Amino acid sequence: MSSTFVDSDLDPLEPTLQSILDQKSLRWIFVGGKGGVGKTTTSCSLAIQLAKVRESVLLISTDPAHNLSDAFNQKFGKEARKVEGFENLSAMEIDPNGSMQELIEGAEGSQNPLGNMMQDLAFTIPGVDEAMSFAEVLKQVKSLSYSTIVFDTAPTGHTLRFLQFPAVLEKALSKISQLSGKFGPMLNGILGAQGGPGGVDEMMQKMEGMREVIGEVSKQFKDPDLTTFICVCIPEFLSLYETERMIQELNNYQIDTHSIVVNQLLFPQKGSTCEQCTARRRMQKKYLEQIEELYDEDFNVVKCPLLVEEVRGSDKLRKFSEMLVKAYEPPAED
Amino acid sequence: MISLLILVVVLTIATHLVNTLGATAISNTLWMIYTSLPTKTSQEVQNQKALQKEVVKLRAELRGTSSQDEFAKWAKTRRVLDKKVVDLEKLTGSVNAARTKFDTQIGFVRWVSTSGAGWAISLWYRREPVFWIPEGWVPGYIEWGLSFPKAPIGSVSIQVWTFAITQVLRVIAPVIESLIASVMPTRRPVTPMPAGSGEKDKEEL
Repeated sequence: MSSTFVDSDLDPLEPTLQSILDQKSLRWIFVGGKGGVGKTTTSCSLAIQLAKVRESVLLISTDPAHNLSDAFNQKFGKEARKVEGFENLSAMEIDPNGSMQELIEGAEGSQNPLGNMMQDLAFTIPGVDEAMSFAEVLKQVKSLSYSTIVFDTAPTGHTLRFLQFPAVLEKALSKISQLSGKFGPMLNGILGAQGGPGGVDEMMQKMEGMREVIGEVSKQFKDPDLTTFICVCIPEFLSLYETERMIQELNNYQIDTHSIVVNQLLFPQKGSTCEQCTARRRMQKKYLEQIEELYDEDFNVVKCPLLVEEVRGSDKLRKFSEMLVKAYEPPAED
Repeated sequence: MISLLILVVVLTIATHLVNTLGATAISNTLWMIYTSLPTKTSQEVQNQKALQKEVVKLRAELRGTSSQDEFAKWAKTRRVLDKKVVDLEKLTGSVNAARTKFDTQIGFVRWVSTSGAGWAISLWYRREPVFWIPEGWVPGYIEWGLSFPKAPIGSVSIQVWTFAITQVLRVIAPVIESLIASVMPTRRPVTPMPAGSGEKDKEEL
C-alpha cells in the first residue's frame, strides 16, 4: 500500500472521503450498495477513520446477515459494545425484522382482535417496518449521545425506501384514524367484552405516535448537514447500474450523497502473465472511465484496490481505512 | 322582436343540431380554438406537445445507446429522460385539469343556450299565444288542449308548439341525415367509381 498522496488535477473533487471526516456536523452516515461489494469493509474503515477525529463513533449494522462480528472478529449484539483496540468506537447489530417481530408479538399478547387487525393494516404500508426500526434505533441512539453514527445498511437497496412515502404514510394513517373514528365506538361496543384495555383508542394513539416518529426520522435524514449516504460499488456493469439507480433514488428522497467508493480494483503487477487478471483489468478500466465521466464532477470517487487477503480484524481494517483518506496509488502497469 | 313562432323553431333545430353533432365534437372544436388562442393553457398544451416529442426522441436515443459500452452517456440520457417524464406527467395533469374545467364550463354554456333557453322561453311566454287558430276549426276540448297549459283558449300555447316542432324534427331529421350520408361518399370517393358516373356526380354537386 502506498502512502504517497496523489491529487489528480483532472478531478474537481478529491478522490477521498476526507470531506466527510471534515464535516463535523454529520451525525448519520449511511453506507450502501449491492451485496458483496465491500459495504461492511468500507463502513468499518470509515468508522475507524471517524473515530480518529470525533469524540465517539457508533457503527450499526442493519443487515440481517451480520458481518460486523466477522469483520472485527468480535461478537456484537443488540447493545452497543466497545470495539476492542479502540477507545471511542462502538458497534452494534440490529435486525430490522426482529424489532418488527417483537412489536407484532407484543400486540398478539394483548388478545385484542381489533388491535391485531389495525396493526396488520398499518404494517402493510410499504416501508413502515424500516421506518419503525430506524425510529427504534434513533430513540436508542439519542440517549447514548454518540457524535457520529455509521450505518452499514442491508443490501436490499431499499433501506431508505420509506423516506419516499411520508405523504403516503400520512394519508394511509389518517385514513385509518378516520375509519376507526367512525367505526371505533361501534367496534368497541361489539368487541368491548373481549377487547383488551384501551382498544381502538389506544391503537390510534400508537398510530399517531408512529406517524410523528416517521416524520421526525425523515426530517433528520433529509438534512444534508446531518446525514449523508456513501455508495459502494465495484467496476462492473450491474453494480454500476444499481449505483446509478440508487443515486437517483436518493435524489428523489432528497438525501445528500456525494461519495462513491469503487472497490475491488484489480492492478496486475508489471509483467504479469495472468491472462484473467489483465482481461479483468481491461473491463474494469472501461467502467472506471465511465464512472469518472459520470460522477467526477459531483462526487468524491474513492478507488480501493482488490487485496490478496480478506480484510478482517482491526489491524487489517485500520490499514485498509488509510485508503479512504489517502488516495491509493496503483503500481506501475504494462 | 322576432316572432315567437320562428324563435321556437330556430331554437329547437339548434338544440337538435347540437345534440346530433355531439357535445364531445363541439367541445373538442372549441378546445382546439381555445388552445390556439394566446392563453396560459395553450402555452401549456404546446409545451406538453414539445415535451412529448422530446421524450420520444430521448427514448429512441436511450435505446440506441449501449448501456454497457457507454454507461456514462446512457446514464446521463436516462437522467434527462426521467426528469422530462416527470415534467411531462405534471404538465399532462395540469392540462387535463384545465380540459375538465373547460368541458364543464362549455357544457354549462351549451345547456343554457339550448335546453335552458327553451325552458326559459316557454316559461316566460306561457301565457302568450304563439298564433291563433280560426274559430270552429277544432272542437272545444281540443282547443283547450292546444292552449294547454296557460295560453288563452283558441290559441296555440308555446309548450304545444315546441312539442309539435320536436315531433316533426324527430321524423324529418333521420331523412335529412340519410340524405347527407348518401351524398357524403361521392364527395370523398373511397372506392373507385365508373368514370362516367363519377363525373356526373361532380357536376351535380
